[in-house]
Amino acid sequence: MKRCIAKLILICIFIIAQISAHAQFVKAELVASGLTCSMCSFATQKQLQSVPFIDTIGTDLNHTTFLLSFKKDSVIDFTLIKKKVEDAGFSVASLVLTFHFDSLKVDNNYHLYYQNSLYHFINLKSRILNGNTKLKLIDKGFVSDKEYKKYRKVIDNHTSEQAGNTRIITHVYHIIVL
Amino acid sequence: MKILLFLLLLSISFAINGQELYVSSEPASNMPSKSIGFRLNNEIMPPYRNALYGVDNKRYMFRQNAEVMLGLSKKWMFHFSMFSGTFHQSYYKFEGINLYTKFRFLSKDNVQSHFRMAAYAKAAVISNDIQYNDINLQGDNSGFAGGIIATQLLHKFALSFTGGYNHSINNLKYKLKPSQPSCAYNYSFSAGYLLFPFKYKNYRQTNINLYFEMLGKTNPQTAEHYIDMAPAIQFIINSRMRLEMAYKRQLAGNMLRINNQSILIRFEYNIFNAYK
Repeated sequence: MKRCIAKLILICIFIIAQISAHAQFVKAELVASGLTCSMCSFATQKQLQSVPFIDTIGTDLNHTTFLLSFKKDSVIDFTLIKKKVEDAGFSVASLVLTFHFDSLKVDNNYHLYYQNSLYHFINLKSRILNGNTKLKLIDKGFVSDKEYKKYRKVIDNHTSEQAGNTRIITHVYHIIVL
Repeated sequence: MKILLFLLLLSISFAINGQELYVSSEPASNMPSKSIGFRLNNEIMPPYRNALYGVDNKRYMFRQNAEVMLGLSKKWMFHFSMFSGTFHQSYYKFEGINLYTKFRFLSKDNVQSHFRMAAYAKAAVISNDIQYNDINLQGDNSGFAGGIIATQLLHKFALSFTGGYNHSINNLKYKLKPSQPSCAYNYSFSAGYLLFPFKYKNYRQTNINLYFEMLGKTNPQTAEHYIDMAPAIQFIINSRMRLEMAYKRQLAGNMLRINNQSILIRFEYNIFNAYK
């Protein structure tokens, strides 16, 4: 019995590794909303600097945009990034992730398991992702309330689907391909 | 009144970017969580004579207010102020303290607009003599206050409204006289815009903001009121310091008050992410 479980775990790890090998996270572009001056941007930057897995922060002050690069091999938690922006007193207007894909075949409702997170593709026609691809998080708090309302129904439907999943997943993100 | 309307229209038409770091009032937005701010407020009043009320102040008056501000969470902040000055006697004297807290309970953010609402409460303990009918918890009266603030950033223009109630109690050594009011309603309307820079380059670039505010007060018990205008200029230096100046002048009113005009010069320094 113990052997069986060990084998099963090994197979699982192998499968996860196979899936992950097709995808590599590169960088993220965060647009904050509600900022009106350089002091607001600076306060947000200071909050982001306290995130342990963020390596560098580039800024585009005119568009209140932060270009984030991450420390190698670190586990990334976008919910913490969202919390930091909110702690500064503002909101995330958009968070666009750049992933590098190596011939990854995806279709609508495709589940990408990356680190401890599940990335659920929605509103997507079957296609093969190659090279650097931009993905946008559309969960509550990662887009404006107005935009979230657009996707809300689809997201709610999928959340119930994932209830039976037995993997150890700390976060579920819903994404669209840009 | 025509001048007022003109100024308001002027500020709207020249609006480049909305700014809500108001000088003579507080916006509904809060300071960032875990940040600490320090302010030194200097208020100056020129000689003032009002024969109707028998007010005849022949000297310049000064008040300094050291203020510590604390962002407890993204929604909740505190101010602690200490006052000293020459408003009620010819020499400098410690006047008392006040506590201010603000809680942001509504926030609707979009990229180019946001609407926020906050509730505030204030308490003051002051030792001055009570000489005037203008209930002012910023150094003149002991008491309590509470109110609501609503701030709207509409594309590139920031407007804010404050409405509140003030209740004065006896000062430490001096009692309210029967003729003096114990309650007042305050209201304000503020607008602000970014004058410079036209394009942001980095955090070291100085921002220059202009504000136009209207501040009013009504004493229902004595049927006194006033409305002030308070234009202000603000410099934001290194994205963490503020240097600002406001000139306040009464436009209309019948209230027995210390002066009908004043100048406020304020220096503010912020430390973001000051503690864990």
